[in-house]
This record gives sequence, structure tokens and C-alpha cells, in this order.
Amino acid sequence: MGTEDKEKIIVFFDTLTDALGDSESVSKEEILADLKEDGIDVDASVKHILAMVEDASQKARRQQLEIARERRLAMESKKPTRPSEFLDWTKEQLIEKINEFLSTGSPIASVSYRELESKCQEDLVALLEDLITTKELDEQASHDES
Amino acid sequence: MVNGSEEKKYDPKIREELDNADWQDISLRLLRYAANKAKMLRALGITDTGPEDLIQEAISLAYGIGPNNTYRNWNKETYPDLAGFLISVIKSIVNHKKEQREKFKLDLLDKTFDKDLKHLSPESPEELVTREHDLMNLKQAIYELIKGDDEVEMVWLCLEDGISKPRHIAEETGYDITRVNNILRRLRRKSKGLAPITEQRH
Repeated sequence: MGTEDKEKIIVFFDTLTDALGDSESVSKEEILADLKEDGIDVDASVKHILAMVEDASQKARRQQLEIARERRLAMESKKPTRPSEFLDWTKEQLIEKINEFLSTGSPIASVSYRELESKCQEDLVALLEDLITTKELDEQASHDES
Repeated sequence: MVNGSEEKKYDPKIREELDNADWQDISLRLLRYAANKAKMLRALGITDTGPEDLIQEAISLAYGIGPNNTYRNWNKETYPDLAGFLISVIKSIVNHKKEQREKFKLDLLDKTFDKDLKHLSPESPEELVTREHDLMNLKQAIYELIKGDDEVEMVWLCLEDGISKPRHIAEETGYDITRVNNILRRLRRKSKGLAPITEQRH
């Protein structure tokens, strides 16, 4: 088989599988029926995909928070050390402020109240500062874009 | 696939849309596409990638946490809906795997193959070439099954011309879209059972 023939046959099966996998104008019921006919356990697969999305979402949030933390630490290392404005805050005040972020879809929206309560005051201050840095970075990115 | 060193940075705004998307519906569309593409990869000897592996990689890339800091930005002008965008990501992953396979085969022939790519296929170059012959035989076998069914033959011609979108096939043949989808379903059923393209990976 020549190179051209070999390429043609692969392109043909690529086109065939694109066509058979297309769902632009196929109803949900038809897709379900076809998948079942192909021997796919649809319920188990969908459940697995939902878990993948949840997992990826969590990883992305952690990554975003980690980036903010790294930037905050980098900024702090460049600036003369200043005491955090939140150092005098009580744990309750800090948790209340963090909860404000939790209600606005922050990167750590999955942290529960109990998890926050178990943190020490220093950790809560660092977390709040990371959240503020994340928000500032997001605002700066939106500003740069516009 | 784009990595962090390229000019256009990852736009994290997509994450909110991914978080709030109707995944029940999107999952079905992704499964349908990925199941078909996984069959093709298997037919090419790439046996370590199932439909859910393709979907998982596409989701990771969309969330900006792909392997080696790779990611994909959503161009809404090209792909107005999220499922369409993710399907395009799966297509690109499949193309990348095909290219890697080709490189692996050529390197094997040169005996300079990259051991990191060995997982792509446990086969020798001769076996990989045989797979391409098998595909040719498979195409012929499917054609024998559809021969005489004028409608399927008409759609077959479109596929040979590289037309894969049912709405484009509809334009080309003059059939309405429902008819085209029914013909494609007939084609799928007729070719079912012909290994390896119709073989499902478990």
C-alpha cells in the first residue's frame, strides 16, 4: 500500500467516525439508544464523567489559589514587611469575611464552615489575603482585557 | 494543543461556565463522539485510549490543567456551544495521537524510536503496516455490506469526499437531515460486528 493510499484510508475512517459520532442534529433519546446499542453503560459512564468534571474543577480551584499564594509571597518578598491589616481581627470576623468570598464563587467555594473553624487565626489571615490577591488579579485581568 | 509557553494565555473565565454547564446532556454528546474516535484509534493499534480517557483529557485541557501545563481556550465564534468545543478538543487529541503513532512507526523503522512513546503501540512496524492493510480490507468489507442500498451508497460517496457533518451531507445529497441521520444509523448497524473498527474497548 502506497503512502497516499495509507493516508487516504486513515482519512476515510476519520471522516466515517466523525460522521457516526456527530450529534448536532440528533435527539437525546436517539443518542441514548445508539450508545446502549453499542454496549455502553450510559448511566455508569455519565456518572464517571460528572466525577471527572468535579475533580478537574477542584484541581483548577486549588491551582488558582496556589498561583495567588505564590504571587502574594513574591510581592511580599519584594515589599518591606508590613503587618497584615487582618492580624487584629478575631477568628469570627475572619470567617465572616471569608464567607463573603465563598458566596461569590471564589476559588475555594468548596471549603466548608467546619473546615474554616478548624484553621488557626494565622492560616485564616493567609487564606483571606490569598482570596483578596486572587480577586485583585482577576480584576486586573478584566481591566487589561478591556 | 497549547502549552503555557505559547503567546495566548489560558483564559480561566471558562471555568465558571464549565462548572455551571448541563453535564448530563454534554456527557451524552461527548460519549457518542469519543466512543467512535476510540474505535478508530483501536483500529490503528492505539489500544491504551478508551472513550472516557479522551473525555477526561478534554475536560482537563478545558479547565487549564492538562498534562505538562497544556490547555485549550474556548473560541466561542468557532464553537458557540460547550459540547461542540469539547468535541473539537477530543478531535485534536485524537489527531495528536495519530501523529505520535506515525512518528513512532517511522522511528521504529529507523530503529531510533523514542522509548517514551512505546506505550502507543506494542506492535512492530510490520504489524502497524498490516493494520493499515486491515483497514483497507475493512473498508471493502463494509462497502460489500452496504452495496445495493442506494441511500447508504450516496452517503458513502460523501464520506469518501471527506464530508462528515450530517448537515453538509444533507446539502450534498439533497436528503433532509433526519433522513441522513437514519442512513448513518443504518450504516453503523450494517458495519457492526466487523472488527476492529466496531470493536468496543472495555
